[in-house]
Amino acid sequence: MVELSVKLEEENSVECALFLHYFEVEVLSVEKEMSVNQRRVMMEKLFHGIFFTAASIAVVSVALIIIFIFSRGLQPFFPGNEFGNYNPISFLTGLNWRPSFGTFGIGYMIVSSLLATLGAILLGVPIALLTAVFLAEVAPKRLAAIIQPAVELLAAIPSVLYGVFGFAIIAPAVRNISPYSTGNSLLAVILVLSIMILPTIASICTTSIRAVPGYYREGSLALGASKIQTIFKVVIPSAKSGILTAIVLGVGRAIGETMAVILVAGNSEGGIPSSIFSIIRPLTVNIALEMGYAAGMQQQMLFSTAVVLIIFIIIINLVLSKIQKKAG
Amino acid sequence: MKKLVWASALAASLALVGCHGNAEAGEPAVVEPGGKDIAVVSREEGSGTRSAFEELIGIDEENPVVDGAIVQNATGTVGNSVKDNPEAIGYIAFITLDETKGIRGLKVEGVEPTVDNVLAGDYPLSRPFVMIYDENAVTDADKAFIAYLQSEDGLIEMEAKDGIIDKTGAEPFDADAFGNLEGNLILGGSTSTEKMITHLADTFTALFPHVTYAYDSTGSGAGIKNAQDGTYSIGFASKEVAADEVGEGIAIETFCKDGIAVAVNESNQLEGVTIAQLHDIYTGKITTWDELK
Repeated sequence: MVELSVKLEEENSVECALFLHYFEVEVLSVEKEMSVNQRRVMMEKLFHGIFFTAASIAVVSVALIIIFIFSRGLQPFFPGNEFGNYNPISFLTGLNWRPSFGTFGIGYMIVSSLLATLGAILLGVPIALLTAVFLAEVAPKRLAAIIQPAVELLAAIPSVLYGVFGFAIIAPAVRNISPYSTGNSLLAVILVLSIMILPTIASICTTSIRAVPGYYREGSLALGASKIQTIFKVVIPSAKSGILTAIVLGVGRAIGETMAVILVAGNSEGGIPSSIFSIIRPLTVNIALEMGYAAGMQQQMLFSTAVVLIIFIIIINLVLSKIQKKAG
Repeated sequence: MKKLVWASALAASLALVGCHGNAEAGEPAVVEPGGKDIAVVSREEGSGTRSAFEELIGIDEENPVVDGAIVQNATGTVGNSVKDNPEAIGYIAFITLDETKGIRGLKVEGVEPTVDNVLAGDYPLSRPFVMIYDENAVTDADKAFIAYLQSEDGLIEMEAKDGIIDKTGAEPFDADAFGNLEGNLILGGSTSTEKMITHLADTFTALFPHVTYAYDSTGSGAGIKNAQDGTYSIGFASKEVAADEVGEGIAIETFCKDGIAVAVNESNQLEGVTIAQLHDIYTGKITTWDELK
């Protein structure tokens, strides 16, 4: 038996060697090649996964925030809430916020937020647009090299510093011209917000004005229009969609701003503002001011305020995407 | 051109710094109160200082704080609002009154806002913080916590939470005397004492790792009641508790006081106010400084 097997091995040894050679050269190398390919595919898949995860974090965060705020904020308006129910109409139209007496009206805060935003846009947009025109069209390069970084730096200043500036400088200045005894007012908020939205609007406007093709200007100038006429009749209308985008982003920033506003708004507990010197309480301020110590119904109603705020932000974003779609 | 811009910017900033320096030097322009309305400054809803102040001056649902009141969510911001505004009035913790320059504490009902007057019980915008416990039912852990509240270490922690305390005679807390304690402190009562007591319980349980605690924030009335029927091992109240309010064997001890100062701008000539005037100012019935003269 043993002899036979040895013999067989001897006989087959050549074939065996050949087979082994074949195995090494062909099969292994193919396998090696496959493994390189596979690794490549794996890496592709892995990175695909990493990118996808990164992208989903944003989507998941938005979804979680919205679900969280809506689920907490809508509770007081549905039966079975542990802290009792509140009428959504009196919540949205109420003119007083007195949590310790069970009154939660945010109507005057919605008006405050809208007026403050409108005022900031009316004041901030013209300044920002003219800054952009100056930077993109008029300014000598050396001057633009000073102004542009200054505008960009303005965007980088933390919002609480705008608040401190407003509290220490703007509010006292407003008090001097106000018929009331406080400078904390709608006007002070508008002034702070218009400075804050300035860099956002100015830099987007500058980019979109620079993107207007040179032959538009050449054509206009060739027709005999002056430089100013060219800017206002040709360049700005051509950059319209960029400018509108900038304004909508400015609205978003103004309506969402909190830290800067909390120090200059006065944060009244009721009443529609009757003049620009009236003290106001925007929606964001209501949440930031009281969330710290709030409990029970008061805390839920602060989440309800957040729901209203989120709805405003969603509307602003829808308008933004509509504008961008229209512009192509 | 560039040089000119820089020079003028420099001059402007120097001028600003200069102005600031003058104001710091302690010579604010005297503003005659009465020209404009009183700027009423309050704290936000949910603040303990606010609920104490409103309780003491009698703010209720029929007489809420006036809509035009400025609301700030920190005692320091209220102090600064008053410092920057000669027409303003605000209420703040005692410690803020000492720390903020440019403001002045008003006499209330003729009594100066000083720590001594609060401790003597003369200053009206003040409340005692009281603990109530059944002397026969307290555990070793409860006893240790009560001793901690009366020790120098405990008083120092209270002071850090704006409490007004009298340290005379208080001795440092001797944790070793209580050995290795175990147990759960069931505390509860006043919402105003919650922050201070939970802070003290945190520092206390850091000394005794096997002791845990819970604070049930229900109100002074519930604190007094639940300490007697055994629901709480120690109950807390932010008001005077009379001996005849509780049964036999129930201890009532004031461990600390709460004081609220009424601050106006340094330039304001007013000497003092009454509780009734404060009520009318905060509810909008008095709107000018002239009405207070």
